[in-house]
Order: sequence, then C-alpha cells, then structure tokens
Amino acid sequence: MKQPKLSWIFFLEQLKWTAWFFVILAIIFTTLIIVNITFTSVEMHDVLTNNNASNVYMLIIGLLYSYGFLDYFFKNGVTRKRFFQAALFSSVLLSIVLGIAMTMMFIGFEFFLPMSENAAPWPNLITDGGFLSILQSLADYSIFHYFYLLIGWFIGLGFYRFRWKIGLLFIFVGILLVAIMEVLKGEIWSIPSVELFSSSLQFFATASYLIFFGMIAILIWCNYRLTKNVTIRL
Amino acid sequence: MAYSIEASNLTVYYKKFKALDRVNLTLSPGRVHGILGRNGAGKTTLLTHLASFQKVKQGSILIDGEDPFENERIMRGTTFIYDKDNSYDYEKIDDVLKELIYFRPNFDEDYARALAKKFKIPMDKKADQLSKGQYSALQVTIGLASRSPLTIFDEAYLGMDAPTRELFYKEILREQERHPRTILFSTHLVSEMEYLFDEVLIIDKGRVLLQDTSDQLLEEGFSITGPKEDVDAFARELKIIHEESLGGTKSVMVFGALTEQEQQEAAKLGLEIGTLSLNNLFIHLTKEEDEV
Repeated sequence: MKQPKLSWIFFLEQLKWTAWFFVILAIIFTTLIIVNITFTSVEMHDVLTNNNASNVYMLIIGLLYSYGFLDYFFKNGVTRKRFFQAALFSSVLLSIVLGIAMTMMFIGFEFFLPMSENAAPWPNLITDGGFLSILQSLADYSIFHYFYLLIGWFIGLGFYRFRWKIGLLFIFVGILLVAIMEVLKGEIWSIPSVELFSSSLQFFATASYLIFFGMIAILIWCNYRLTKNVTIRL
Repeated sequence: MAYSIEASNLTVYYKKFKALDRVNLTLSPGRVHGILGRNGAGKTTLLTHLASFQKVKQGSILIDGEDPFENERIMRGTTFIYDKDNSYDYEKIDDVLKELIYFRPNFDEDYARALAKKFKIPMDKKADQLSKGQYSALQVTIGLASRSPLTIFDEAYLGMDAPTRELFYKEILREQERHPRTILFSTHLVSEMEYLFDEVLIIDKGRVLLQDTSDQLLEEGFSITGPKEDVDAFARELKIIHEESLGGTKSVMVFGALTEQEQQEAAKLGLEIGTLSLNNLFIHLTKEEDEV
C-alpha cells in the first residue's frame, strides 16, 4: 500500500471515532448550556472553552497508537517506519480537524445564543476579537490537541516497549510535560491576543511558544525513537 | 512466488536466558516446513524473528536474499498467523476480510469468503463474538487467502475441532498445488500433521537438532523387535532412542540408517525391522533424561 493511502486509512479510522466523540460532546455542551441558562445563569468560565474533554480524548487516541494501531498495521505487513509516518500525518490532521470542529461549535453557540436573547455563558468569547481571535482559538485548540495526542502516544509506547514498571515513568514524564505546558499556556494566554505582538510581554509569550514547540519536537523525536526497532507483541 | 529463508548463527537472549543458540538453517522456497520442538524450545522466538516482530541482535536472517527487518517488500509478503486473543477485536468479520485487500497484494477475497463459509464462520458477527475455534478458523482463513510468499502458522489451530482441522489441512494441500508458497508450521500435533510436511526442522533447547526432508527423516528411524538378547546384541553399536521390553521380547527405536549388511543380519536373526513415525522420532529425540 502506498504511503498516502495508508495515512489516509489511518486518519479516516480515527475520524470515525472522532465524529462520534464530537456529536456526543456537542450534545453534552448544549445540555449544559441550556441547564445553565435556564436554572443558574452563572458564568461557566473556562469549563467549556478550556477544551479539557477533547484534550483527554486526544490523549486516549494517542494511547491507542501503539497497542491498537501499530499492532494492527504491523501485523498486516506495514513497517514501523511507514506506520510512524502515517501516524504523524494523521495525528496532525486529526488535531486540526477537531480544532476546527471545536471552534465552529463555540462560534455557533456564540452566534445563535444571542438570537434567543441569551448570552454565551463564558467570559472570553471566541468571536470577540474578530477573525484573528478565531484563528488563534483554532490554532490553540489544534496545537493542544496535538500535544495531548503526542503525550498519549509517548506513554502508550513506554508501556508497549518497556512494560508497566518503566511505563509508569513515562506517565510521570507525561504529567511533568503537561504541567510545563499548563505554565506556558498561562504565560501565553495571560496576554490578550490583540496585544501579543506589540506588548512589552511579547518576549515571554514568544519564549513560551518556542519552549512549547520545542517540547512538541522532542516528543515527536522520542516517539520516533521508541517506535523504531520496537518489538511487536504477540 | 515463494520466499527462501536462511538463518546464520542466530542467537537470541531474553535477559540471561538463551532462547536460540547459534541457529543455522536453510528453508527452501515453495515447500511446507514443519517446525517441531518441545514447549520453550525456541520455535516461536525463531518465527517472530523471521516475521520481523523482533530485530536480530546476534547472527543474521535472509528472506528471499534480503534482510527482512523493516523491509517493505518482505514484510508485505509475510503473514504470521498465531494463537490470538479475540476479546478486544471488535471488528465485523466482513470488514476484517475487506480490509485485507489494502494490505496484502495477493489477497483473494472470494477465496476468503468461500473458506469462511466452509469453516462456518458467521460473517455478520464481530470477531470478539466468535468462539475460540471459530476465531482460529478466521485466522487460518486470513493466512490461506493472503497467499503471501511466506506464510507462518504458529499453533494456529488451537480450539479448532478435528473436522475443521482436517478441512484446514486439505486446503493447505490444495492451495500449495494452486499457489505454491513457503509455509512454516509450528505444531505439537505432529502425528496429525506430519503428512503435510515436505521438510522438518526440530529445535531443542534453542538449537537445531535435525533438519531434513520428511522422507529422509523417516528413513533415519527404525524399530527393531525380537528376542531380548538378539536385539541387545544387534543394537549394541546403534543409537537407541527408546526401548521397551515385555517378557522375553524387546523393542528398540534406533536413530540412523541401517546398512544393507545390517538389514540382512537382522533378517538372519529373525528380528523385525519397522519404520518410525515422525511423531515417535520427535518424542524420543527430544526426551529429557528424567523422562526416560
């Protein structure tokens, strides 16, 4: 099978699961918003827009990369290298697609709720900052999705390759990376997006982004090294 | 199309345990090879290395003249069927067969469906809903219909009932006629399957104990039966792998060919010379000292 086809099959399989996840998530969010508007009228803060549910979903997808997908593709004659390439392609695409879906969903809520004379029950509206803000939301969602997927992939590979004792160390490293990411996210998000490139805090924001992308690059490299020559389990 | 296999000085350690010890072998293409050995002898370790599940650290493997590890052509042409757990396999059987077209260039979907029908595999069920025997039959169906130049069956029949196993053996012979390929069988059902093997490799404690064609191996083993004293005298210089006595009669199993002169001598003494089955040879050649 040619590489693009393999990557595409890999992506489509995950897209099917993601479509189910997204529909369920949209139903839950709609219900939460209706309940909030009807009964509490309390700001939901970042409960929804923080994107935790989809990040956890991506973490789980990443965990399945080794025990599910690597195992399946290898046993059907696909080399580890070709699997890695397909996984890399489909993980980026999936992160972006889910990022677009999430952004569209929130834009939809922010657009339609005022029509029923209700405001979206969260403080920082995605649509408030115009197109740039929407674009930044989309980029942020996609990047964080991708980061969590890489973490899941990394932990899964740790267990697949080294079994549970050393696998636990991979969880520890994963938690550490997420903690660093949360600190960096605080740095980045503490600056309003419109001021990002003019603020005196630009240096910190840029440095945070650089460290964050550095972490992503290191994770990709680690996952490649862990996949290369890995013993496939029976 | 069929792949040849060569292994030189293949040595595998699991921590301090030596699973394979300087294994040298050549398996000719287009033939059915029986890979025999006791539990823990190193059969599966050998097969997982041939199927590139593990990277060779000491020694080398060549399949169709090339290192198979991460080799796209060889890996695409190698199918490894083994005893799998179906608890977490939620795919529909129909989808399982459809997907194989993408991965296996020689996969024959019509043949796979015909086989599934023969093996009475319910196509509308999911893999985790199949019984152990049905799931094994599905794996065997995949192995046969993939028509890979190298097809490995490692205890693939587990859970299959005797009539289904018989069907499987017949299909192997039919397929080998229509689409010859290199087939490796690792099995403990030696007596049941020995007629399938063109060549036999016996592994014991990580080493190659024997490798030959089935016909040649069967000529290497004899049973000699007769009066105890005559049998003892006759077999004194021979390699006895098993002996049994009942009253004054003794029967010994001997490994090694008998010369014409020895055969005439046995006839003169009134000793009965019989052949040994592959199963007998295997059992007695790999017997531990404390099992005698």
